Amino acid sequence: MTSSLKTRRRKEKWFRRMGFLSLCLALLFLGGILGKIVYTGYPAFFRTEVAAQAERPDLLNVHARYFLKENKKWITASDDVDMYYKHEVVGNLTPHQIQAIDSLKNQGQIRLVFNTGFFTHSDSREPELAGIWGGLIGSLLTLFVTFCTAFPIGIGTALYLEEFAPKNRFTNWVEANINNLAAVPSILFGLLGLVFFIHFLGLPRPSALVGGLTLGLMSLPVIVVATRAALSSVPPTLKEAALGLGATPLQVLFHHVVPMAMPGIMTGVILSLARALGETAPLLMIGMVAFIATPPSTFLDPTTVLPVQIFNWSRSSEMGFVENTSGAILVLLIVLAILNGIAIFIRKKFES
Amino acid sequence: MPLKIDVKDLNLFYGDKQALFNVSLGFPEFQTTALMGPSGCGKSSLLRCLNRLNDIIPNVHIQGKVLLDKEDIYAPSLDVVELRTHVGMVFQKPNPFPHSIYENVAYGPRIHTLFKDKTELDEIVEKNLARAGLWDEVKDRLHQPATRLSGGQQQRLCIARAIAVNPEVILMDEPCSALDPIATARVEELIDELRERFTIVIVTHNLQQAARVSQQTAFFHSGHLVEAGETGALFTMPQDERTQGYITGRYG
Amino acid sequence: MRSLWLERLVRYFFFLCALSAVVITIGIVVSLLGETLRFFARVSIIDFLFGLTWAPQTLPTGETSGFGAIPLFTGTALITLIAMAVALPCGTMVAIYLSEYASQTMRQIFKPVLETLAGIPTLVYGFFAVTTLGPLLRDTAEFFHLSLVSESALNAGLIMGIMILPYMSSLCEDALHSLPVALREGSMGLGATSSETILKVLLPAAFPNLMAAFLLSLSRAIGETMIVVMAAGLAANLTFNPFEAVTTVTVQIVSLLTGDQEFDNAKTLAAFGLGFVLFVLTFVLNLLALYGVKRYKRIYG
Repeated sequence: MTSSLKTRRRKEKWFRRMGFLSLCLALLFLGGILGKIVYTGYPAFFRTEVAAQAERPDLLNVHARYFLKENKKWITASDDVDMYYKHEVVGNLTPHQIQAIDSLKNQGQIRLVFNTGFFTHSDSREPELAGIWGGLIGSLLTLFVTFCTAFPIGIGTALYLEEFAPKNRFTNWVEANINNLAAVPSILFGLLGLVFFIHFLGLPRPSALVGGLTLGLMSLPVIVVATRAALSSVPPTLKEAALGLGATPLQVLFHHVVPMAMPGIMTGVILSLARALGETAPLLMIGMVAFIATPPSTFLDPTTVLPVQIFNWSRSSEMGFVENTSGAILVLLIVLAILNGIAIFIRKKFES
Repeated sequence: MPLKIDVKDLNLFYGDKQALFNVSLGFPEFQTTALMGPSGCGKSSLLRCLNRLNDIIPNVHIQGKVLLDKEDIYAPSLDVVELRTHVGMVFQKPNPFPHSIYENVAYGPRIHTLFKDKTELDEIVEKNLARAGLWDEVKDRLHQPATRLSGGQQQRLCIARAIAVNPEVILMDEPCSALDPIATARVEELIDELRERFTIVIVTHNLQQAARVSQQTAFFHSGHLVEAGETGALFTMPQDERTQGYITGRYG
Repeated sequence: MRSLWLERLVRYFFFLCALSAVVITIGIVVSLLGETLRFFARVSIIDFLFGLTWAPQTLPTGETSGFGAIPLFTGTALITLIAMAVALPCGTMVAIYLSEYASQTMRQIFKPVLETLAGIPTLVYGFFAVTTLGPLLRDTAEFFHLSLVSESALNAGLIMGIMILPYMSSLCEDALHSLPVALREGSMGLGATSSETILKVLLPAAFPNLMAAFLLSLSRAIGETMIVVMAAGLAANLTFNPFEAVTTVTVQIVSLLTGDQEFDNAKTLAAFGLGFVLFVLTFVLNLLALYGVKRYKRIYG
């Protein structure tokens, strides 16, 4: 009897250890990936500048003289120099150039500054000048369209299904369809967007409007499911109390049910927007692959979004772009972390 | 005593399942009628027919008549929402809205616009909280969340909320079953006071409570009205053996 | 009095919203179907579903050749298999640990962490596969004198497994956590250890939901695009050797549609044919996951 108890205890310990190990392994994988991205990415937030000395400052105009510190102007270095200065990668530099850089280092004529251009410039063929501004604006416009499409229709559908729909076959069929749509691969929504919005409706190709509509379709079922869950968590006794006082069904809905379900609804909306922000495949389908040098100013202009820009950069083999890709991914992850954080905060705050 | 509510040959169906069989019962005005019986006998179902709260259950339908002041409340032309301003309800578990105490009582008057300005609304809130015996306890914290009150206080708040719309009838579905004995005693006192202005129908499991608060008692079994009559007489000399069995505690 | 027409209007609006959801599904099916049928007018469906060569081109004569999709199906299957081999055991064990062994604080920290990790764009995983894991695997293989290309199925499969892991473990954890406490208490009350309770009572009881979790994760792996676009190969290769490069259905959809954009070209239509196959496959899996599970529960309690 006791020996079998010992074996059982041992098995238990091993099982428990395996579980803990799996958790550690999973966190290790994911931590490793994130760590690598951070490590390769944050240098993108800095760029190398070389000092250009003014030989005859007295010949320069007043303004230039005023802004020159110690009679020199700092100019962004080339991509190869940037990589060498940050990572000691020789790349295409000649030995002569390397010597020059090293001597500049000793003279303090070369420095690393915070690369605000990374955030404010649009895309460029040169890695050291390229920035994510175009992608950021594009993502903003696209997500705005996504929100305007998916939010009203999604909430309306959920309210209908949860509060007003009669229990018949049509309702069951609608529910089944929505649950299904929530799990359809995103690329298929891209195909749908291609056929319907571009081919059939003739909307301009890689625009924020088409991108937003396509992602809106994709986010719709997720918002419906999340909203329904939030609505059904409202205790029915509250609805009965309001009904008993003579409130109309709509009054019950908007005075009591929706306010109570709001945190859950908001969480669902934020999380689905976060997902839409990171989507790439459906937007590739509607033609957002091209190189966009100027950020869009309307919803119909050619647009790119941050993940597509990241994807484009990732296909370049230049080391400068590898660094930029990691940096852009870092920005994307930070934005997503903030969005997720807000959602979790809302959930925690109202769970009490 | 005139009948405030008169139920005539009521049959209630949940889909194919029949829950009430040919129930005929009168509810005298300004009196408390208790509905009693073992679990599942249909007493709560009958109660919810009286303010048509059963309507929200899918596939429910009735045959027969329920007359409020001689008008059939199941007539197609009748506005259900208005009905519920005449017949209010208090539920088994106190269910105050997650708002302030003030807002809970003010909600009914607000949606039915029963007041002209803020001072009138304040008066309505104070008057009904006082009627529910709650005013002194909450007058200093009217704007605190109602959920902070004790169970007994919450139930009295729900009563205040229900009477704030000036109904003529108050339905109570086992209002004390979630309360402790002291809170129960207070609510029972309240029912007695309310009887001066309202007709009350109370569903209860508690024989002693029915004996204490009601003037008329109706006993149900498996969807049938077994017997009904003056409370004292029913308890001391029940005609039907099922009633007697329930009263003496043989089952239920 | 109350505005009855407003009530009716609002209710009608909500109904329209629900209808639109239906319209979208129909829209997807119809659009895919339409283009797919046009595709099958050019390329025979038998050649497509059972052909062994994928090198799509339209010959000057107008004939089409090389539209056999089998290598794509096997490629998808291979990478998915590797991914599930990683995600299934690891994900289930993580779920078991979090649900049954971890303390309340651990759960409160790690559950949201896992949920957030499940939301990392797949593009990030793809990038990692190309820049880090691919060379790592290649160098490791060289160390053992094996040949492994940088776009191997192993590379894509492993990364996809890591991507699916948080998703799978989140679903499994929900499945386990939703079991009634009475079940656990009954088993522990009889003197069973936690592992015995889990293996003999909880896992069988949660089986339908665990099955659903597995099917949904599978469906996600099959429909995944960015990881394979970046990490897997472009050339169709009919093999089950994980060290070689294969291509998948999703990669080909992207590659066919980001090349020339003529809409009537057989190649572009082929993308829709592939899309339709993908839709049917994931639809069936999702249906099994959501409804097959319900029926199982109803039969077996």
